[in-house]
Amino acid sequence: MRRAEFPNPEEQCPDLRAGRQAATQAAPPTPLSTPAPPPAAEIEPELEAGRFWSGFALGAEEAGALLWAPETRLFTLMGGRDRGKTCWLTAAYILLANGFTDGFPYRFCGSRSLHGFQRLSDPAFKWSGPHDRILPRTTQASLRQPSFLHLAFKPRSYSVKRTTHVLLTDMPGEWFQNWADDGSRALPETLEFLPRTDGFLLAVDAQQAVADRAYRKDVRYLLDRTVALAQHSQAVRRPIAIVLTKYDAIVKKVPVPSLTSRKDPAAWGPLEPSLRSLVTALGDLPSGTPWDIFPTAAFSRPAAQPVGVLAPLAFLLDTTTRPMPLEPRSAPREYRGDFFEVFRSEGL
Amino acid sequence: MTRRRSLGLLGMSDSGKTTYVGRLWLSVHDKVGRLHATSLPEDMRPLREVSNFLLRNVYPPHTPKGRVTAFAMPLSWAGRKETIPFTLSFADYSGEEIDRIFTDRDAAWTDIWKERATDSVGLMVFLRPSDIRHPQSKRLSPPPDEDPHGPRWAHLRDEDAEPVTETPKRLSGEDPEAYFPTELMPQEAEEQPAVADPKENVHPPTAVALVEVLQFVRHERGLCMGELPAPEAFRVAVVVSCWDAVHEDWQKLGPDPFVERHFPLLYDFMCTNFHRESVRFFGLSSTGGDLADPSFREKYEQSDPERMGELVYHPSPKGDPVSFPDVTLPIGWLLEGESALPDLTNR
Repeated sequence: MRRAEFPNPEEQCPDLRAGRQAATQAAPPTPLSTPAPPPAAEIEPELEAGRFWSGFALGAEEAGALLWAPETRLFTLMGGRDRGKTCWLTAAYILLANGFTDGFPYRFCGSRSLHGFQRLSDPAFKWSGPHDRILPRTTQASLRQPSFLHLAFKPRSYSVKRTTHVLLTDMPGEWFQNWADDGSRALPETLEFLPRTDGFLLAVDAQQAVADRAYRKDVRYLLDRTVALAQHSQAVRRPIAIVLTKYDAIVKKVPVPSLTSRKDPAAWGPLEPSLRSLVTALGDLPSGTPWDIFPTAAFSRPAAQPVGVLAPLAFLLDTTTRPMPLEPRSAPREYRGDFFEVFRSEGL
Repeated sequence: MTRRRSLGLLGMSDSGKTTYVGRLWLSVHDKVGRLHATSLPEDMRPLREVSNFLLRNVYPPHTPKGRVTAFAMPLSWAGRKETIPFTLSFADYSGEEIDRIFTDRDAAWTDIWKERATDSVGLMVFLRPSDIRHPQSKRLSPPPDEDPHGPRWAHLRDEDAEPVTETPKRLSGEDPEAYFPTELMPQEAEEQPAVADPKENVHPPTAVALVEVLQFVRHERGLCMGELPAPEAFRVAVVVSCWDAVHEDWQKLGPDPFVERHFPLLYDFMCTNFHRESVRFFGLSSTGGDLADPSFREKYEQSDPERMGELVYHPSPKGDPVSFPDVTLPIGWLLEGESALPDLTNR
């Protein structure tokens, strides 16, 4: 729904024109390759008059409404239990909020979950020493339904007016473990949004990946599921960022390879077995699907500095594409109560 | 009957809103700036109260929680023929309201706030440099660069970090992002004290709370996220108060890079949600110094408060800052845009 001051909506909004034209023409086939750049329209879910968003993480209904807009990207942060997913999210917020964004090619444009981010990071502000836990674990008990954190970005260049909405998931690792174990049977309970995912962040505990062969296999199973999901839809290329978390614990043993050699498992020394397995799985992705490997440290010891955290987010923002929609730009009113409709509509 | 024009003031506690109102009235009443008072307002009491503090060489006290004071100033433009007088109205309130809106949301968004959001021709956002609540723990420091072999990873390899300078320095280019103050560059491995007691409430950081309230204001005006309102429809003046207290190196750089460096979230939000022409950054010194400093107060006592202080801004985005003794300029710019600012062609 367009909500503001546009005296001539058709002239100022290419999408509206495109939508009108599409309605009068035969529907073109869904593009398989990189589509045209997303439009400069501003779409938001309709809110009740006088009522603001809660500010906390979005529930499935709010997220679903937002996902009807094609400029919304759903990035699923995956990984087993205690693999640094919440720490990565928190560190990303702290970096953005503090403007420590060297090399990040986007500007913060807004958020419907500032309160949620703030609450997430409060424990980090109170962290009193290097040996205690920095953030509480996201558990099945603390989270029973999917929740999404929202950020909006614009490119740093003033010439590009496009707004991209990003929904980031913060889910318990057990849900992903269940998915790896049970496959699609596990989706309806907690992860029904997965088919709508635009990009995946797979959190891999770097220290564990060096030391624990069983853990390596668990990560591989999860990636196999992800690759299978990516194969399912040819309409959308879903990039995968392998996020090596807690890298500070091994950085002295495993120096960070140069940017040009990061996709070569042999460049990672003791991490090679783990990454070779993952790269093998990534070979089954649909041709042209972007993927990359990112060493990160959310709260690197001892100085608690986030390192490399925004790079995978920039990668997904840069490489995710989504076909232009033929449907109305905001969720039809009749779908409002069935938010999973949008999750099922992966080709939207 | 004169036309009524409303402005919204936005600022945390002790951000300088009340002091500015008092100083503004002294200026317009004594006709020393671009805006002049045409008469006394119907209700003179609120303006007399706040401005009298400045005349007695002290700052107005902190506005108590829950108190909202409405001000009205009958004004006209100085030196303009056939100028139409108008009444400038705005309200002052306790800065804790911003925190309360952030935490209590709809419950704290009163009808007064709705009116402030929708009726105002512009907003003045006050930031006080000495009272910045950062979103970060002081344990966190900025990454110097993105190079994996560079100093960003240096502390993890127990290598020495690059030397840090005490104050911002002007580098070869004009890149304000290159400046990092010492307190944000720990890099050493020593454990630092926690910045908050584990049971202490953490207040929302200054920029985060202000951005949220600005999002509410935009939502109330029917603006979607990232949508750019027409410049003449809605302007925002971001005012760094106590500009005289800012380090002189930052004073040389000006308010624009200062806000970009110290309030990056707010700065990015402004860049992405408003036209460039709709946002201006000002450095404001309402008194020209610190009234709590006895030596300055002595000087202040011997001066005209109506002529003390300064207003600093960048005439062009990359230009050097300029300073004027006229504190009415942000108001004029909010009402009429660039044409209200001094002509610098012969300067």
